[in-house]
Amino acid sequence: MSAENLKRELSSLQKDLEKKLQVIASREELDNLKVEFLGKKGKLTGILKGLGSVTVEERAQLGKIANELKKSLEDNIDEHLKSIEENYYSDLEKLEWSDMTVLPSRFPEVFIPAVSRGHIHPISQMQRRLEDIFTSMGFSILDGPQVETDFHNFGALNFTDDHPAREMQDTFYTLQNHLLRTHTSAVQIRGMKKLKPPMRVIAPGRVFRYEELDASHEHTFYQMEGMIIDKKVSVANLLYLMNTLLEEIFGSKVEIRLRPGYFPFVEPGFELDMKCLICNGRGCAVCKHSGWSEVLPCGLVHPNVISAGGLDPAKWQGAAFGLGLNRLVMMHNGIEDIRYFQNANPSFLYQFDI
Amino acid sequence: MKLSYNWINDFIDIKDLDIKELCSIITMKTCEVEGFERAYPHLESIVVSYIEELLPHPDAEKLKICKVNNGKEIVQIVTGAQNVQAKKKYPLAPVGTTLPNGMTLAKAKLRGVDSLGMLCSVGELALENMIINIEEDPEAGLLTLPDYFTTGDKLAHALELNDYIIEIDNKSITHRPDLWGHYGFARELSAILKRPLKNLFTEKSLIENSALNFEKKKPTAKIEKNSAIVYSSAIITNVSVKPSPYKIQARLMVTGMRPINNVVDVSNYVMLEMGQPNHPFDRDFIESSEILVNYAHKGEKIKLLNGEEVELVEGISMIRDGSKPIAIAGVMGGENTEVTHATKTLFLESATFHRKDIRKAVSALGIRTEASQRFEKGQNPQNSEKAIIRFYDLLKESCSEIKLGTIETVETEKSKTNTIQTTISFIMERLGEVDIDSAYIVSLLESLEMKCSLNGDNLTIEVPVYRSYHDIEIPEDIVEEIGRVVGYDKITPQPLMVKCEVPALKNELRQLEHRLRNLMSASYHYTEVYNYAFQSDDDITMDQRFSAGSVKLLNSIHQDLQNLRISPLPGLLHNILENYKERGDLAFYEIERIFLPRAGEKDDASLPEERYFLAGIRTVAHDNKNNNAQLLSMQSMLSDLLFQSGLAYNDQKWIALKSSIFHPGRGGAALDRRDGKELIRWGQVHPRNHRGINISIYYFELFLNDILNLTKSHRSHYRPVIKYPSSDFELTVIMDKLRPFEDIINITGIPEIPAGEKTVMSSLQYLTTYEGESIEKGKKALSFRVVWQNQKRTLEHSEIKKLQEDLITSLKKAGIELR
Repeated sequence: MSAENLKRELSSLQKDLEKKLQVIASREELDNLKVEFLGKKGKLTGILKGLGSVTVEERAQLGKIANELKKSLEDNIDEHLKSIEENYYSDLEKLEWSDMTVLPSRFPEVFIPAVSRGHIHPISQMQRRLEDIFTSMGFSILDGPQVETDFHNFGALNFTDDHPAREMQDTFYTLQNHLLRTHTSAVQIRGMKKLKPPMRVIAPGRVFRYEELDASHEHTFYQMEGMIIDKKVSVANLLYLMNTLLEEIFGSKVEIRLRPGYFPFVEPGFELDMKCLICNGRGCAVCKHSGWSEVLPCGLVHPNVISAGGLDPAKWQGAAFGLGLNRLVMMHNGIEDIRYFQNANPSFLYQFDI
Repeated sequence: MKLSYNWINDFIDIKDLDIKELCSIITMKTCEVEGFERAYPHLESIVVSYIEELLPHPDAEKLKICKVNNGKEIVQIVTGAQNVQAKKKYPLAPVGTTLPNGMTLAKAKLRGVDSLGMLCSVGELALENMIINIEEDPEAGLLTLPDYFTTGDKLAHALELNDYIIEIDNKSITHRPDLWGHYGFARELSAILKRPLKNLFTEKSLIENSALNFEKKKPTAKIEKNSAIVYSSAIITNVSVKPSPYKIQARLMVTGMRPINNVVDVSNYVMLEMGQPNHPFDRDFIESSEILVNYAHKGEKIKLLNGEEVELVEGISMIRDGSKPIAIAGVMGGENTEVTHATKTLFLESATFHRKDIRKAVSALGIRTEASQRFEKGQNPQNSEKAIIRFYDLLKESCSEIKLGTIETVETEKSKTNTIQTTISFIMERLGEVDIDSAYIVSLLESLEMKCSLNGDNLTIEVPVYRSYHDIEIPEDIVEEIGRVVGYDKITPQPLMVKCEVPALKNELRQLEHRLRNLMSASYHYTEVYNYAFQSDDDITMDQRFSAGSVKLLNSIHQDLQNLRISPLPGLLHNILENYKERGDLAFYEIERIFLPRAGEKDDASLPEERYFLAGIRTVAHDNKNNNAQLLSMQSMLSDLLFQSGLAYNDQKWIALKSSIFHPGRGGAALDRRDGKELIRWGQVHPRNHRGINISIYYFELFLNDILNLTKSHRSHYRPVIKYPSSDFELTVIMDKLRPFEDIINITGIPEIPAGEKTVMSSLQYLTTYEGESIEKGKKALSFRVVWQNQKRTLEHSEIKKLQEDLITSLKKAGIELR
């Protein structure tokens, strides 16, 4: 077949399709048409078999035309599919109408369970346990916004504008000059302003850091802030409280230690370690052979923070601590990858009960 | 930050301490040690060997047999290296050595000849970065060692690489600018361990620093505005640029820097030792007679040492040769004045800049260097001149003929020392029960080089300059110094004495949240999921319920994550679409917040409204047919949820609702009949939202605050038990297919609680709908039941009959016939 003939056939193919599309109204017919024109044994392939008989230059030229045609045929079909769908959608109300106004039957007469049972997210479970422990000790539970002002997240917590610690926490900002809170400590100031001292509060919730994901880093995770404001609060009090808390969480005697840690909103600041429960301090892979696991940062509230909360640091003292809920759940269950907590992963979630 | 164990030992003798013990002391008293390791463990077994004799291999032209002296005996090694020569020294890896590439050497036979180890190249030893033998091409093959090396010596020792790397967590020394160098750590350990600290300088070096008259005059330095705190500079002449001694190279390699040449290496060495960054310029490339420190103009450009050209913004502090920029202050030098192998004279800068300016440069340009990292913490300006003297001392070790000119220092502020007023009782109160006294406190502070004067309970402390910048500023900082050096393990835990009281504030929303979780998971068999707070633009357009747009992020991880969530649906829908193929039936719910934007910026009032939602989604992947049954199932669940939250069945009103997220014939809402307030949206998800995936998906959403209001206003559902029987009436009617049940409710009225003398309809129950053969096309048969009751008496037969007839008449009037 000559090149001219092939060209003619290709262009008539387009017209042929357009004509046939006009009368097609169902998805099945459209699928058949697609096979007829673009399938392995379809019309286009049939024409292209004739390419063997033309010169190399002509073949290149015709190949290009054929590719463009193929794309245009596909587009035509897709567009038609969309219009079939939209027609179908516009008829849906009549075709598949259900009466949404009936009075519901009593549950569980008609309830059809999707799966054998449901599960509560492990972080929710841990959060509830902690809330129960703290409320039993007289702590109030506070919430704060997840989108915060610079003031509550940084400024009032003694991160001055030139403070290098701002770099410690890579932050998401919004176009409106707010930020996604990088820690639940952002609730400290709101708490001091809301409640009268002496006070004991916790603030669990979601926090954010601008960070790439990997097995041990998430840009979205969960914390619980705790704060006590009273006339006299000492390191010894903090030690006692943390010990009680951890024994309650882990359900056994624990041994803890404080070592220096730096956070601008506490002074002095600590990292609290717990003797590794897996190896009992002898050293193992979980505690990186140190015998201790890092559990939480804490400290005595910095006087600048107490002032920012509207209280007189000469009269009021405080202690604060921050628990990482993801970390606690991971320690408790030996979970290896922090990414499992987000998005629905049934293989992960179905392992936790209620 | 990496520390070299040997380097610390230059200033304080701690050789007797086990490395593990040392790290534990630093961890418990000062800052976090992330770990420690041998610097170049493989070099511990590699020995300096001498080739006594070189013989040809009988069976291979390219191989040679070496009789090698390893210091103890002569061993035979077969090598294929072309540059091997007799009477030269090479590194020998004996049998059993594990090389950096992971290969462990075994006794081998090469073409029938025994070989007891391997002679190594720089690559095999991972020493490419070290300049060991300047005459030799590092690609040549074996590494030829200098003749003066002792045969049999361990290579780690010969190259001064027998060291430990101690890794310090940078975040934990953010507040300790003095710890950003080895000398600082030695000083800290000297205070903790009460061991003497050696001086950085010899007497000689300080005396030699005298004015000299150079051929090339030193440009004068000038600080404009407040662009630097202090700027010290000096000329060093007679420089010859060459490789550094092994010790300096080794120290740099251990701490993670690459040796370049003696000038650059010494500059880095001084920074890693004293924490004081400094910069050597080639004097001959400086054209004007004045070095100027001032702020950059917008749009100005500079080509840096790393070859990159960057555009500057206002507020970045610059070093200029006259008006021409030659360095970004405290960050990186320019290419135009870089030290080369031909450099003869240095203009050496050692300065301190404001940490806000450095932060500005780092965040605007995205360049972070060892220098900027230190300046960001706020270096002590008193180090600026000392660093120049130290530089000179160290460069002299490889260049004995150098001369140092007068050090010129200009400054915008005098260096300071902080004075802290506090009391012993303040310190003791903050720490709690610990067995120390005032004399001990004073001695401890003095070992930290703090001058104390104690007057009764009052304590006045003069802080040394190196801890006066952004470090020890208030009495609480002193509490920390005492606490950490004494050791927090010496404090006895004490319970806080507080009033015995219930929490001051009840978080009802949280209680509701947990109660809903129980219902959803335990009663309704749904699984709780967490989704991100971010949505793509497509997801934003899916649900137009809140059409005021979304809060947008300035910096998002991915362009598909640049909006804050305005609808619970897209996230949950993704959860279904990602799992239904593998899992079949799924039921998920989520309790979180959506973010609805408010106008304005920065302040509290313009923070987005965060609405707590509960949303649930489920799919029936394998049974696409019985949509009505699925809808009824979800509806009965939602009705139960409302009932459990305090909304009586009779107060629930179910209506049809049009929404772009729902199938046009299957969207609905539940209202509070008493005030008409919408509580729940629910229905089948519009198939347009899952194009190409032929499953039915059902969804509902509610806001926790709406439900909380119900819970709050709820009183018990309990009513006195009625002793008299009720009368049921079940009937089936024929009506138009698309006519809603609501029409029947409008006729029967809403069920009431029997009270007083009145007979009421106490219940109305929908039973079934039937369409099919025996029913006229376009019609349906609908069955329902009404129940009448009177609180005070049994209903008379005639009364019942009348009620039934009346109902039928009203239905007929509305065009609804009995079947």
